[in-house]
Amino acid sequence: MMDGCPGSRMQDFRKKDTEAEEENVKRQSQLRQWPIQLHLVSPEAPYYRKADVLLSADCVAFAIGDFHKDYLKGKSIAIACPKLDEGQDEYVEKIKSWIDDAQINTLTVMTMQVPCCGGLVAMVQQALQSGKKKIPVKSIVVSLQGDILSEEWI
Amino acid sequence: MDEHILIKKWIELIPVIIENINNESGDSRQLILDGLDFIRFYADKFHHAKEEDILFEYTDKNSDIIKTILQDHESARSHVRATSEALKRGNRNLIAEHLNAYKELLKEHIKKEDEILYPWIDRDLSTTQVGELFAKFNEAEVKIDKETIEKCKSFIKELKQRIENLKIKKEEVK
Repeated sequence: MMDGCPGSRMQDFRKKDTEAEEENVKRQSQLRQWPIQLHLVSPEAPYYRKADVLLSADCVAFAIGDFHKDYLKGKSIAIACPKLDEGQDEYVEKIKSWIDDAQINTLTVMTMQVPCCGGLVAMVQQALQSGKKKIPVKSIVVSLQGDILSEEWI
Repeated sequence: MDEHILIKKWIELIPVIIENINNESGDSRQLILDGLDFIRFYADKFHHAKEEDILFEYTDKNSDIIKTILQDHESARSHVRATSEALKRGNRNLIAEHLNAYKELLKEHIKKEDEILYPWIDRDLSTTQVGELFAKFNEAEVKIDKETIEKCKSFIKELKQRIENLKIKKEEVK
């Protein structure tokens, strides 16, 4: 194990393989749009209008085994990495436009437990503060092995 | 709900209002009249209506908890009517009795809502329903008479001082 930034510290979870049950069910994708990267999406795309939107940190979908079934289903999505992505001012503007122009119904922000992921929630709060409208925002924090550490309306 | 904050401030001061009821004083009478207006508009027309017309639509209205809450709302309205009648007749004891009953009822009612009802409703609401509710509450807040809401807020803000003034006048009369 290496020291350093918790977001990039090496960890090995392989022992889980032997415990996991074998599943032979093919799950359907719940993705209902393209593109999904926050720089690439238009906040005015029809699938965002009055929708329940999921803004997910890039890593979340890889950590949660049932991400599609439990979190993506019924929602429109965008993904971003608050640690590595550039042009994050544009992200704030897009989130603001979801709220004010697309009049989204709710916004769920899913982040990993690592400290740098908190930047995504901060962007949403910044957009909410400067926006004209208020909407319910839920923050879900996910552990590195896909457990839900917290889930609350903020 | 946010309205509970102001309503709690009002009911906390009811005992000291009761202590200072004076049938001979116009200020005392006006304070109670304003208090009843606060209940009628802020607690009932605004807050209870938000619950009855919007929130409870997302629940099973035949459930015991909703029936209890609706019964509480009716009992509160009946205490307000009775206080108003007693005030017209200048019956100090009846005013005190109904204001006190209202206070006890609301204290328990708010506790029930905060600790049982809202968490119970929250557990069963989907994310989509939370968004719908939020939008409907916002709509109700936009439609409501802002001037009267501000008047209600000022009433609570000035309440302690008005009670102090009543106390001073009472002492002067002695």
